[in-house]
Amino acid sequence: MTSNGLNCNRDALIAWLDDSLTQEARARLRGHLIACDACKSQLKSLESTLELAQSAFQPSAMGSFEARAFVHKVRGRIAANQHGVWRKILSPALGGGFVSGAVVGALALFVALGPVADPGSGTHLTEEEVLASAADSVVGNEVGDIDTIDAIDDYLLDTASEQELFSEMQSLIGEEDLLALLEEY
Amino acid sequence: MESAIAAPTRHNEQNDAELVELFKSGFEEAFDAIVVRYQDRIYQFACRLVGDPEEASDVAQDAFVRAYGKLGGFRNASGLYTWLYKITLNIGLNVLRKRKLRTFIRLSEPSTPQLSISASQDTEISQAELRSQIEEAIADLPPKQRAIFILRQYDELSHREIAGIVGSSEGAVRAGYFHAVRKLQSSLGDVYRLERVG
Repeated sequence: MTSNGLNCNRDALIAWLDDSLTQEARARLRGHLIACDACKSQLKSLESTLELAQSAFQPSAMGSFEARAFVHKVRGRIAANQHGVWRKILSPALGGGFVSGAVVGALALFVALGPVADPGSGTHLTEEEVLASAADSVVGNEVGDIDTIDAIDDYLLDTASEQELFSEMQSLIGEEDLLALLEEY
Repeated sequence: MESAIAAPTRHNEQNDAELVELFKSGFEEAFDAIVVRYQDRIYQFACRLVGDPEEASDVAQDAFVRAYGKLGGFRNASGLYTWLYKITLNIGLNVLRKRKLRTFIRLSEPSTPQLSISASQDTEISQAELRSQIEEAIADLPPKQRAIFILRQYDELSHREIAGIVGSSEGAVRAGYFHAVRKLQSSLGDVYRLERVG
């Protein structure tokens, strides 16, 4: 369909409403609209579509309490993430060269930071106790290069399911502590 | 859109680039100021993208958690908010993918017959129905097209900014937006008729 030598073009009408036409194209379309009833009606319909979408799809903004709580939740998740990731890295159950390397590195750090057991006592901590303590020491002292942590984080997020992470944490710190931790965050 | 609360610290006067630099020099508070500045926009974007407010809150929180981990290496500080949108989009698209998978699994299971409820055609459409029809029509758009439509229509970002966020050319963004509007127009055709009668 043509009018005033211009083809009827719905995309041009959308571009008109989107304010993305050049001045020249806008002037030409204005001329076309004066003469073309079909395009005028089409433009009205498109305008209504966008008005409806604009007015009806408005999620409510956060209230001041929610907004404050949001920052705390983000902070809590950052802390939980770091805590959970390190515990998982140090777990022997995962296996794999990458994780094993991280375990060895973390253990070395732990040894450098403090004795695993009292040498005089003759007692030894279990493997899990050592790993859990190492995780605490590493997290508590903020040891670790951020890029390495990111790389490990990405690796874990890509390879471990939520269920695996949950079981892993459960086996390390026990269900009661895990639930308390989740409650806290 | 203004955030519901003011930035909690003296950092609310600083621009994005300054906040990023402060964060890099070890001022953790600067990150909180970034969250406060953008949480509403990011949450609303996530809400429109994934639909469910609770899931959207999770997506928005995840986006900031991920941003925290990467902010140390972030270089284009003037583009902070488009970067936050980009992270949110990626997480949101993952949520949609998982949801699709869950729906697929549910559809594969034998279903129990349900009573069908049909709405009366001659009743005036309520605001809630109208809202849900529009949300449905937007949810029916392919995810990337939906993101383009939302970012243009509600967040009022430029084609260039959107192109950076979705990883397409400006031309592709424009075409995606036009396509989304055309689809919405045909999906909402029935709604108009009811509206005009009402």
